[in-house]
Amino acid sequence: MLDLGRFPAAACVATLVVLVLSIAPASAIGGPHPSATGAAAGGLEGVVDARRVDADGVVRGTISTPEGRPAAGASVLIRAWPKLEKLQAMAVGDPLVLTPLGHTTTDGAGRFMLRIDPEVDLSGLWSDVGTMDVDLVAVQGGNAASYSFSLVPARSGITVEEAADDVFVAHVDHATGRITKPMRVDLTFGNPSATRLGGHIETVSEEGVNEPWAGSDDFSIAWTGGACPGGPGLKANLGNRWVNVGEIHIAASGKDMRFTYSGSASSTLGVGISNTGAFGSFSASGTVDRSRSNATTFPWYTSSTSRFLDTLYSYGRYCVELVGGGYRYHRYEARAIRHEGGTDHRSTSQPTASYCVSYNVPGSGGEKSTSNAITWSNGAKLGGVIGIDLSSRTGYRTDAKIEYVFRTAGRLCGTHDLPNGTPRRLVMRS
Amino acid sequence: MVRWRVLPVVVALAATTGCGDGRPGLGTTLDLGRDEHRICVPAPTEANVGVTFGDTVVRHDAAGPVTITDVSLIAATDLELWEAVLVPVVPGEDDLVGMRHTSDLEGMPAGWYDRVDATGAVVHPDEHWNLVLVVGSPQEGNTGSATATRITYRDSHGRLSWQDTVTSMFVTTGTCSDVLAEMPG
Repeated sequence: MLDLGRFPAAACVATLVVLVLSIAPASAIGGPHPSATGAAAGGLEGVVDARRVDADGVVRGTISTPEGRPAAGASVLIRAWPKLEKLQAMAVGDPLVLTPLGHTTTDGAGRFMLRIDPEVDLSGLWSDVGTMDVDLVAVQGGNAASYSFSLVPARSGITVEEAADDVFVAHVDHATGRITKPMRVDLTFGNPSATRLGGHIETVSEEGVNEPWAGSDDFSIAWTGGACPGGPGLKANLGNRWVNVGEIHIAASGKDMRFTYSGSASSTLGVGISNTGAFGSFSASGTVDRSRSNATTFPWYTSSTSRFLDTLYSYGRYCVELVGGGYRYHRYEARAIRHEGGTDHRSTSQPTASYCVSYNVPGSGGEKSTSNAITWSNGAKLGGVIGIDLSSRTGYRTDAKIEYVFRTAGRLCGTHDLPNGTPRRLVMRS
Repeated sequence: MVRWRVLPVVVALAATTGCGDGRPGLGTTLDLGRDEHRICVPAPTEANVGVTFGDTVVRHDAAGPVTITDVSLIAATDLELWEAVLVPVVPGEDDLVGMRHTSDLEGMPAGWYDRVDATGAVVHPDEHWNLVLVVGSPQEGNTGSATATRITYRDSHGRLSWQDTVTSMFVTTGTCSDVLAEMPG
């Protein structure tokens, strides 16, 4: 549930209705923070209702009440984070401005489709590699729910099925300006763990435990009444954190394997949210897409071993606000800033892999792209700074690949499918 | 823009010839795998010995059977297709034939002895067949290659389509480590 803070519930409900329906300047409504402009702090001012916009949908889905019923008439909005390069240049204490892109209201079945208002100038929001971080926010009465994701360039040559399976991002064709693959997000007020994304999703912990994709099981995570202390902005650098971007598995001698994280490789990294920003108060909610920033070369592994392969990403803790009708709500987000490079590896257990292809000629080998990658639910090591590890995923739209050479005859095996299918993990066996 | 008098011809051609653009997962219902894969095998030193590439499973992901009418290499350089067969397999239980020299076929999966010529073979929905190509060696000092293999097939309605595999093939008289290191990306 939304923490109403010092605002009376009735006033808050009325305020949120005003917030999402009036689309009026905050200064015209008044309230405890009259100095704020809605647009500057993340309000809806000047944004046209998506139902009146002739454009591709960027995100669709449903909003449900805490009891699981359709939330009819809920207001849904999408806001852009600053251009990534600006985000990366921020210092602690610098202000954060989110740009409203569009809003709408759910129908009687709780369904919505959000489109970007064509009047919004996006030119200063795209990163140099064509990505944009956005927040989807739904509010109704005393309830709120949100999810973070990225818009990324549509990958040429990707199949319709592959695009549909790329569930954590929306695809945009920069040549035409069209959204070629919208996001599908189903949110439930007051229950981030009920968040569902469109398509087939399965995450796995580094311990090998399959888990349903979920934002959080902490029902208290929501928006808190009042302003960000000191205003919205970067509140702390969380330092460089190791992030799992790949893994290699060799189960016999005479086999060599290497993981390469180069070219256009990128990772989809989990976002942590908290209503206080304190250690131990964070839960996972959403992801952002981050491209590698420098060549990260892992060594060839030439003996029997299983390793997780890590590289460093810097993370920051931000305070963001939701503003409207003169009222403000805030929360904290921990999210990746940039790839910093560096390599490390950790031992892990060898997975069972029974979908095999024989390589009977010594000296044979190959390389395989990793576009059907694993999502490690705890692959980004932030436990020491926010209390939980966040997710990481490499694959889709990337050049990350596995190279392998059989110095002695053996088999290349997938854990879930043959190597040419969707193997998830590849193991070199005798 | 298509002129109206040309349109019937285009429609007729589309109905009777190739459908789909051949890329994996697009245009056709013949499933040959996902994601680009490059495989290199050292060439045999003996004469008249071929190299098998048996890493692909053929599956028809739709109602009704299809009949394979042709199997060919795409953009083949110094690489000749000698033979193409289908081997029945149960993924997860049977290993695929994979990469071998034809002089050493010891330990072939049981289905090898039930193989059929790929051209003319009928693939029913939910069947799994291991496509095994046998290719010749390049000339000494060379690396033979093909960017993919194209399967042309006819469905139960008589329509011709094609689908490409996801595997690029390399056979080298040098070392595969060098061949892989020279690949872009």
